[in-house]
Amino acid sequence: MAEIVAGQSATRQLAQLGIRAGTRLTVRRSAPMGGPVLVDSGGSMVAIGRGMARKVSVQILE
Amino acid sequence: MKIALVGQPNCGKSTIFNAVAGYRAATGNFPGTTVRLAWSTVRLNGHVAELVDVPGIYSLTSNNPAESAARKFLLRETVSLIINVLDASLLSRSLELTLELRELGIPMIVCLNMMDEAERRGTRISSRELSTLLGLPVVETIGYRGVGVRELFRQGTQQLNQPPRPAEFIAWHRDVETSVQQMQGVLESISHEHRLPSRFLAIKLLENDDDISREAGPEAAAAASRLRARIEQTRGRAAESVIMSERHDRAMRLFEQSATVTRPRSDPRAALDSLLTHPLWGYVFLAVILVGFFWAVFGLGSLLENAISGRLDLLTAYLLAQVPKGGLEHTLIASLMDGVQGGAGIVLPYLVPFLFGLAFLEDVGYLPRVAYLMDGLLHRIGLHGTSMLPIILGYGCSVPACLATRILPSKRDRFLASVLATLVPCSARSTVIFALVAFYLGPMWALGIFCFNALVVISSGWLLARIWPEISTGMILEVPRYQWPAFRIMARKVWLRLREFVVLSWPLLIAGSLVLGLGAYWNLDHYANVALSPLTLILGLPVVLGTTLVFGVLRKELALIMLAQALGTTSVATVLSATQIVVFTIFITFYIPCLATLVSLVKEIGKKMTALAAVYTFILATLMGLVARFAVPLMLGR
Repeated sequence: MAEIVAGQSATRQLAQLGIRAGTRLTVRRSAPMGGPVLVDSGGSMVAIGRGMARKVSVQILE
Repeated sequence: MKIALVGQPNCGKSTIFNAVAGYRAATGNFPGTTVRLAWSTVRLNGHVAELVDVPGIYSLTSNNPAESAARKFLLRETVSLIINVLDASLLSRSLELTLELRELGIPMIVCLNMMDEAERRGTRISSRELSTLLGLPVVETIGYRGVGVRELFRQGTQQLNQPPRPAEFIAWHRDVETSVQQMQGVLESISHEHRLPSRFLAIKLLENDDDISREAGPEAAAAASRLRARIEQTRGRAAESVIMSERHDRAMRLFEQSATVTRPRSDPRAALDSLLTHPLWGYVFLAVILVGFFWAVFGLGSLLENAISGRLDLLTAYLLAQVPKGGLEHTLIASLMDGVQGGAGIVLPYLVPFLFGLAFLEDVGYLPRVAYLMDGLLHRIGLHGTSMLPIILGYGCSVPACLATRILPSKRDRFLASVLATLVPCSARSTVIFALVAFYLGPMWALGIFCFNALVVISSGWLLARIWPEISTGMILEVPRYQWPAFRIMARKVWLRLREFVVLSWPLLIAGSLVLGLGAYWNLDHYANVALSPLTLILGLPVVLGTTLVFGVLRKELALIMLAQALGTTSVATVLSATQIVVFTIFITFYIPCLATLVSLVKEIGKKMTALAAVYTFILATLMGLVARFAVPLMLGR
């Protein structure tokens, strides 16, 4: 994952759940109808709303 | 003496609390089960202490009211011991909070909970190594089985009066550390008296914490902003983010030095999850689970209702045969037995299976998945996906549902979620639906009412979101692992919720039944019914039902029992038409929430908003009752 461009509180919340610049994420699922994406970060699963997920830019590995 | 259980959401604090305090705090497998402090006086190795279950926090910077309650408690109260509970399978992340808590200078012990889960994940932790590095005692536990809990409290009480010493290992990078120490110097030069350690205050000031900055005064705030600017200059990003990374770095290093990661055992739950969150099958299973839940509750409930009601009918008939007909004694016995039968014969048969089902869904960890599945739809309407948690809890009882809205960050979202949660039929109202509609008209009708209700809740959400437009912040919700619920814990949770009915509502029900019976005996109910006749007329209900609607404000299931009392028979179908049964049920389901809910609504969203909610639900109930009055005959084909 490259970086997060979001508000301070959102960035903090994501970081608390282990989603921060430089970490590896696996996208498990993405819900239909513009629903959230389900992300695996270091063993914990986090559902992130689509709008929020757009602010997380990633670099795709392998 | 206060002992606080502190840790990240869903790490099992409440389970450990209950293991010591008896089942007092509801537990569940979703983040934010505990939204307020739970207290219990316990006796531990000769000490009498107040054990406090603190809502889960990710850090000492709070994101929602539940978290600020926790922070306020830790920062303002005199706590003698912190038991820091960690989910061992998420060790590295959890240690970030441990490092922050350590700065508070309060005696502390670390509890590595869910050790079995960590092992399954292939994480092997040396608690001795961790203890040396942290400079704190570390105890391994498996909370839901009670393993290690006794040892935890034994070592914890030894730790009293021993605040954590500074540990070498935890020191930060030189440049940041210098800034922290300079900040500390400024604070100490201003005043020597601080309730909290100066290092903690210094770090919080560098993190630009609003509360602490205000408290520390302008001089300290000015110094803090100078030091922040310096950090930002050298590191090239916000000071807050630099400090968070420092903590993250230390936590990672602690993790690497105390744990080894091997291959995780293959986990069948991952396969289950990919099915239950599937973009198509996920919704199919959601529908199947909900409908299956409905059928199970109805099937079990009607079986029990028939068995119990039949017996009680015989008993009532026997008792009534002993006294002369038409006398006061006759009325007394008849209304008393109506109340008894209402509880044992009508409410309990549906309530018990319902609560068990809900406890199962909560403990297994399905609720956050529902929130995930529904977020897309809810977001379209203008709601926050996490709102789904309180709304689902509303099916159990509206009171905890209103409390659960504290996990939502914005005030507007909390208002919307609490209003919608009260519109959802709680277990009391579901009982009315099961015992009246399903029992007399068939389960399909009851299912129809549940679906109709869901539709109204969604449209209400849409409407209210338009009235108070605000862009909902995106959902960020941790989705926990599935867990097979321990039956013992589920049973105790069901009892915790059932007790309220048995000790509070049931006596009220019997008393209410007596009041109504005596009222009818002396013809007093006539006046109340006349006063309410405009409403009953509009809805096309018999005038005698006016009083029962009033009783519904006290407790929703009272309306059901009163119905039998007012009509003078328990076989409702002989007196009411199918349409009237549906109209009555729908009106009861939607109109003004019960007294207990109103009280908790006032606490959560304020008097004005509660009044607004009450008026809204009353109008909604009347309108929906009218719709049913004209739609049901069409559906019956008459």
